[in-house]
Amino acid sequence: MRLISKSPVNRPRSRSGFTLVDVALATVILVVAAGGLIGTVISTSRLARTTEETADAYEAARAMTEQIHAMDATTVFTTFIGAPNFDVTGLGAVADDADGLVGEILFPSVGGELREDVVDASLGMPRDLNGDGAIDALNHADDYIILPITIRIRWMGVSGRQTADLSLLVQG
Amino acid sequence: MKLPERKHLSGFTLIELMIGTTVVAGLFYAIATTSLSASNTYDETMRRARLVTKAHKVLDRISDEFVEAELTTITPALPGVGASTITYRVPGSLAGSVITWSGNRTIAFQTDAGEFDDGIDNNGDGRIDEGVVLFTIDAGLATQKQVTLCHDVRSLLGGELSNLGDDNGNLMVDERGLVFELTANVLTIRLTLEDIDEDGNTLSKTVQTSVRIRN
Repeated sequence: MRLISKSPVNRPRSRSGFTLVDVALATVILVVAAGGLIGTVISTSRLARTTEETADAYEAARAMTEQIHAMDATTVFTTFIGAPNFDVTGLGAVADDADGLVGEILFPSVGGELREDVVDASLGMPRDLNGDGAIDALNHADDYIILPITIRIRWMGVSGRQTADLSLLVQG
Repeated sequence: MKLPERKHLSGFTLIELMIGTTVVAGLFYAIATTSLSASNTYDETMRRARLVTKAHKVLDRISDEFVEAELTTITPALPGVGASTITYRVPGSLAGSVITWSGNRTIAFQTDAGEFDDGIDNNGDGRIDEGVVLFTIDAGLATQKQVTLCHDVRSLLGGELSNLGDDNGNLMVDERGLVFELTANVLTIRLTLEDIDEDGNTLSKTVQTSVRIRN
């Protein structure tokens, strides 16, 4: 006797679809791609603010440079050594900044004295500051003829700690 | 009776199509957002750069005037007070050791045409009480000439509010967008320019320079 199937639908033996591994792999790839894209969006949105902060920092450094150049060169060191720090509108100080002022004027000095024997590559030191042909450990605050200065702006920006340096050489 | 064979149909179901479309739409949205953000960042950066460049050009022009200016003829602009108008003289001619000085020259902040100093945007350009830098030669004389060095000067210096207080910490109160400050023989000039984009967003930049008066 031949059995006749009552069901009009022939059920296939194999089932189509995705396995768990397929889904997991696709999900991982999608998450990685989305993560990369989101990171790019976040970086781009920070870029404008970071650019503005950097421009403000260099503008402040440039203004300080012009102020120094406009002064009598022989008085620059004594004028700023006691109060070398200044503020910049729009920039916040880093957490460990003692006075909360983001700008700083750096001299080749030790303990308030202008010294030729200071080792600082950014200032081109050690070097002869008073033109006597020798590099010594004396205080040349009153007889320098050249004065290397670095104006440093250090702030806490949206991208973390940022620093901008501007170097100049004042000639007496 | 033999049932007809059901043909196997290939293709996507409606749900698969909907899911795929949603995923692609999401990716395109993310890409478009990133591109738009980058484009806006570029535009804003360029606006700032143009504004700063313009401001520096004006400061350089003003600085050149004061390189030759006679210190004793400069309008007293005391530290902490400042002035938005400055008057000075420069050497006109030299005969032997005798210098003939020019007529009075002035550089001043002046409210822009169509604008009044009333806290209202009178000329409808989106800015309030904005001004110009006006340069005058032979002020008050028949040979007087005037030229506008730049427009778009902010009414008050950057960071300052009209509240009779020193908001920006420069020891001056409600100072104008162009301000001169004379300390000994060093003249400090500060200038704030502002710009408005097509969306009505205001951008302002402040620049500063110092000039040593040598005469």
